[in-house]
Amino acid sequence: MSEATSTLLWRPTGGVKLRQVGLAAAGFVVWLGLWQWMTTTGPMADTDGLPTASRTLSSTLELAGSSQLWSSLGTTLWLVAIALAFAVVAGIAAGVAMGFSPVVSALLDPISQVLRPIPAVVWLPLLLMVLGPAPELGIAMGFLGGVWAVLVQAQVGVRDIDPVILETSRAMCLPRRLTLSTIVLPSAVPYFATGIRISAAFILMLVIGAGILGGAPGLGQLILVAQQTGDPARVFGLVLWSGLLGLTFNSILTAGEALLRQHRGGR
Amino acid sequence: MSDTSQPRLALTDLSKTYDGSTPVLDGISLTVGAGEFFSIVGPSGAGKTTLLRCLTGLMRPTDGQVTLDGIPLSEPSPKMSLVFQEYTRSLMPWASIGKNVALPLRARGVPRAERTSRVAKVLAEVGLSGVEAKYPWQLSGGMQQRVAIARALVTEPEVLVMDEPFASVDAQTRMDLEDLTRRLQQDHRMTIVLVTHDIDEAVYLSDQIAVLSKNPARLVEVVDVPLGAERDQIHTREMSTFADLRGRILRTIRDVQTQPV
Ligand SMILES: Nc1ncnc2c1ncn2[C@@H]1O[C@H](COP(=O)(O)OP(=O)(O)OP(=O)(O)O)[C@@H](O)[C@H]1O
Ligand SMILES: [Mg+2]
Repeated sequence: MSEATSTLLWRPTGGVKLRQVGLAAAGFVVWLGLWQWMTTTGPMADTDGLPTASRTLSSTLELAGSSQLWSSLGTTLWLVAIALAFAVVAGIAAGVAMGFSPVVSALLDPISQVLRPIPAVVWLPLLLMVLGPAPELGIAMGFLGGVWAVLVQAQVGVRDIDPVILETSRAMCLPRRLTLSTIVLPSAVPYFATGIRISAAFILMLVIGAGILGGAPGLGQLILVAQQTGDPARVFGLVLWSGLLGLTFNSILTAGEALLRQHRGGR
Repeated sequence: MSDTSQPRLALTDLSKTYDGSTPVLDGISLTVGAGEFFSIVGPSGAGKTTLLRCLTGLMRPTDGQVTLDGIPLSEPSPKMSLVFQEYTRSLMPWASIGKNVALPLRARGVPRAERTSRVAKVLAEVGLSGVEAKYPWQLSGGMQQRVAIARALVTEPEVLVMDEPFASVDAQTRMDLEDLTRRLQQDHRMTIVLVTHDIDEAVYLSDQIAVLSKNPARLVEVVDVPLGAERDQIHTREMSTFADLRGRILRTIRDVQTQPV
């Protein structure tokens, strides 16, 4: 490499980015290399159910051309969307009511305190008995796992409202309904967004989990079937696809939240 | 008492304590006539904001009462507008300037078309034509303060109450806003109650000045300001009456502060 290009590469802006990408790529190469070595000539060679890196990669790429993968991804996203919609509506309604009215808070807070700490997976056997391995199983599990984050954030958001702006609304003689719709709700929107982002990650996890553990349709079910037919490379490939889905999903939600904050001058 | 001689705002024996024992306000009685520019001065932390919150009905006094046009006030009245000391925080950052200023009109059920025209008119009055679509955080501090004033004026209140409204803007903006406030008061024949800890500002703007002491806040004296209706930032401040009043009020405040309680 000539002197000129190397200084160009090390320039702070573009250079640092390029360097980071390079290091990240190197990390992947080392990881895959180590994996390949371990499973071919290394100590874990010929372990049952442990595919080599090359077989996993080819299976992952193969899956990209499979219509089954795409329809399962679609089903999973669809179930996540429905569960998220229920969680958002119920969580915001209950959270705002609890934050706004001491009576509602006294009524619902004990229930939420009791139910919230129950890990959502624990509901699976019961729900499986009631719903069977149906789409509703994924939705119900997702809802139970995701509703709390929205509820808690909504509650905090309403309680965290600037007292000056509340007093302003009183001084303007705003009726309660207008105070709620023009002051309280908009002021809590960033909290709703945070709640939705956290909740969506839980819901994705639980919808896929409901598929793996309970046979609810979607990506999880596909993994369950691959496991039952004894195809570890396919299981691994699907795991990588789940990771990719989660990553994309989370980036979109994080970007949405950042955009929202930007729109309010950082507030 | 006939309608014309009745004071617009009357405080009778007003007392307030936050913790049940330490008085913040102690037996304050004063009257503000219709169309008067009335200032309240006192040292920082004296209880000026507390007094304003009581006299606007935002907070119940522990003792005594407030009447607006002879009627006891127990909650904020639509005839009154308030400009808060923390005006930046009193604007909604998620709503455009137009929506911010129109909100008190929505509360009063004014139809949309009329809201739009009244908002445009009042923004023009404070020298901010055409900023309706902007957001509060896109404006400078002085401009935000004008928006807060515009929002207070848009309902055409009979009484405008302002809590240290010019404390955090530069000297030139401050003079502009002072003159704007004085002009609006003259144009609309409004009653203004202004809280400030700047004695010069109080003398320049007011018809009457109430001086408060601290710990607890008591009314020390009410000073008449015979400087006429027309005020000018240079000439008025050069008048000997101005200097006399300024000296008298400063001396009063120094005396009450050095006195043992
Ligand atoms: N909500 C409250 N609860 C308890 N004490 C309070 C409350 N608000 C004000 N105080 C106390 O009352 C006293 C007067 O406060 P206030 O804000 O009325 O003073 P101020 O004259 O407006 O001060 P400044 O010039 O700094 O604005 C202070 O000692 C303050 O600590
Ligand atoms: Mg104050």
